[in-house]
This record gives sequence, C-alpha cells and structure tokens, in this order.
Amino acid sequence: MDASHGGDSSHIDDHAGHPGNSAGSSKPPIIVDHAEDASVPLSTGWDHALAAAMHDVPLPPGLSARLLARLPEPAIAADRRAAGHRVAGRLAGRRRWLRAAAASLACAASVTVAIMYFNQTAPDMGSESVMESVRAWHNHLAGMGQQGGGGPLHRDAPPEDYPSGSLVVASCVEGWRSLPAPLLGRAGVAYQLAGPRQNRATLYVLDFDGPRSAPRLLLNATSPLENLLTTDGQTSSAWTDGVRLYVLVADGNEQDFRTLVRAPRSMA
Amino acid sequence: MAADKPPELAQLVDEHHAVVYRYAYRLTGSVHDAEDLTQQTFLAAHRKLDQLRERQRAGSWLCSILRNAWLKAQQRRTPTAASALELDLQNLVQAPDESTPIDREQLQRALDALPPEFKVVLLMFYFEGLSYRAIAEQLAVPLGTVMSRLARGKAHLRKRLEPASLATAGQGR
Repeated sequence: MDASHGGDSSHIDDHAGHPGNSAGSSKPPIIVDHAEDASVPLSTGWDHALAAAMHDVPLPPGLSARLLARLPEPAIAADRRAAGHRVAGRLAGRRRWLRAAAASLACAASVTVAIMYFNQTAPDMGSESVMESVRAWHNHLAGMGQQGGGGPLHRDAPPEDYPSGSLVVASCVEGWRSLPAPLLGRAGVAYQLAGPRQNRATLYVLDFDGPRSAPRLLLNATSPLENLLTTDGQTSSAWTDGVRLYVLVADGNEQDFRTLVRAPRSMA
Repeated sequence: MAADKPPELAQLVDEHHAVVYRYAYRLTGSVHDAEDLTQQTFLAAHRKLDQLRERQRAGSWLCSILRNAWLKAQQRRTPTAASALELDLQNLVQAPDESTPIDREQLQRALDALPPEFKVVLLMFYFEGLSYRAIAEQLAVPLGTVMSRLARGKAHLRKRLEPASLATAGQGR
C-alpha cells in the first residue's frame, strides 16, 4: 500500500492547486496546524466541509462528569502534589528531549526534501488572507457551538505571552480561552469581547513569527483601524506589534467594530 | 502566569474532553469505545503530565496520546489488507459539490471501512490539522507514504460520500 504512487501523484496535484499556492481558487485557506509543523491549507471547499464534519460528533450527556468520576481520586490529589516533583520530571524530560533530538537528527536527511518542498510552497499570507482564514476558523468553530475554541472562559489574569494589547478597549474584554489547536500554524489564545452596543467579538492573539515552514505573514499594519474588512455582517482586522499577531473578528459593522478598539497614539 | 503552569488533570478534562472524545469516536466508530479511549487518554495524560510544558498545546498533546493509544491497540488486531481500498484514482468522480453537507454518520461508516493506517492519516490531517511532514514524523513513515495514504483515503471518502447521483455514475468502475 505504501507504494501506491498513483495516490501520491494525485495528491501532489491536489496540493499544488490549493489556494495558498496558486491563484486558482477564491477560497481562503483554513490552516489548523501544530505550531512546530508545516502548515498545509485545506485545498477545496469539500476539504473544509470534511474537516468540519470530522469534528461534528455529538457528545454523550454527562461525559465530563463520568470521566472525572472514573479518574482515581489519588490521581486528582496527586496533581496537587505533583508540582513539587515537576522539577525532577523536567530533568527527565530534558534527557528524553536529548534522545529525541538525536533521533530527529537521524531523520533529518529524509525530511530535507520535504522541508525544501514546503519552504517553496508555504503560502505567504497577506492581511486579507489572514483575516479571511481566521474568520473562517472562527465561524467554523462558532458553527459547532465552540465560540473562540469552545473551552472554558478564563476570567483570571490573561496569559502573559498573549496579552490582549493596548489597542483593544480593556473594559470590553470578558475573558480568554485556549485554542483547541494552533491557528495559522501558530500558538495563541482567543479573547472574548463585548462592546457597549452588546456587540460580540473575538480577538485572536497569536505568535507573529511562526515555525519555519508556517506561512509567512506579509502584514505590517500596527493598528486595528488600518485594514478593516467587512463581510457577511462581520468586521475583521489584523495587525501586529512585531511579536504578536492580533486578529479581531467582530459581529456588526465598522461602527460597532470601532467601539472595541482604539487607535495607537501616533495615529490618534 | 497561569498559562505556564501545568494544568491539573481535572482542568484538562474540563477543557479538552470534547475534542478528545470526538477524535476517539472518529477513530473507534463506537460511542462506548470512544468513551473508554477518552478515559484511557486522560489517565495516560495524568501519568505524563510533567511532559506538558505549554498549556496552550494541551489539546494537541492529548490528541497525540489518544492516537498512540489507539494505534497500539490496532497493532494487536488482525490488520486489514490495504488492497481493500480498491480505488481507481484516475477515474474517480470529482469531489462532491462544496455546498453538499457531509452526513456525520455516513462519514463514520466511510472511515470505519478504512484500514487503520489510512484512517489515522486522514484524521491527523483533517481532524488535527497536521501537515504531511508532521504526520510523517509522528508516524515514523516516509513523506510519500503519508501523501499516498492521504490521497487514497481521501479518494475513498469522496467515493463513499458522493451524492447518490454521482454514486450511481461511479458504480460502473
């Protein structure tokens, strides 16, 4: 089966035709990838539909409670003790990491060609493409009732690595969620926002520099008001502070959007 | 910072049980087996919690634990012949209309008909969103194998999920 190269060529054709690599399609790529990996945009509408259908699985009632109930009590209690042992665990982890690194070196030769391939084809993403991709991701999750990733909303201190930034009105921030998987091949979080007009929005804060083979972002806007995109009742903007990428997807029109953000001082 | 602390097991369950269960269901095709696999995944996660350093990656980490547990279980079973995928890639009908919704049960039946090595590649690509390279590295198989399995698996799904009219046209193959 591994030698079924008819399949290989078929997929190479497929891949070559995806919108991130060619101008053949108007569909923006949805890129859902682990941060350390090359990103492969889904190539067709059917791919998007298939990815969405893969996640379309109803949850049995009471699943979470059953899972917790079946976990041994010592395991839960041990969590609390484990903090003290994690230093030792991390040393062991480093040894494992060194072994893994050695193994990775051994694999390097075989993946070199792949890396070259992906480097050549990893799509560069402009501002509009970024906004459309994030909006597609946002709406895909929202369609499954998983707003901003679907995890619990944390109302405690926001993660230091992914602050909501100074250009979003702080009083609009209700909380943040972990992303269920990296977005645009990058790690990050999603903030839930509510504006004074009861307008809802989600702010995605991601690493600007992704892994080597992730799509390169050709985006230099530094204000949420520089590149606004209003589509299907949503207004989006993408900007960067050089370290992080911010993408705000807001319900409503540009006026609604403006209630959530402020211009940087230099533009005010 | 909260994001740097390894989450507790209960927190992991709370935040990620849905995605873990959904992945488990797509792999096993059974509600009962999926719940067992989900439970097994969280127990394994508890044992390996010290390996999780970034809370933002907990979901991906859990998916890899789940996948490995499932693959390990599959190795103990009688393998399905890859030749079961009798696909003529040259004559496949085009992908179904983008607007045609994919029925989740029909999708599951199509997935269940696949040998595990095809199914896992499809799920790693479409469910986890991994790249070819990442899939190749994680499964320790050549990149070409990943692409081949993905292409054939995808063709199988297209064939099984195509609308009735297209299915009729495809029956002559």
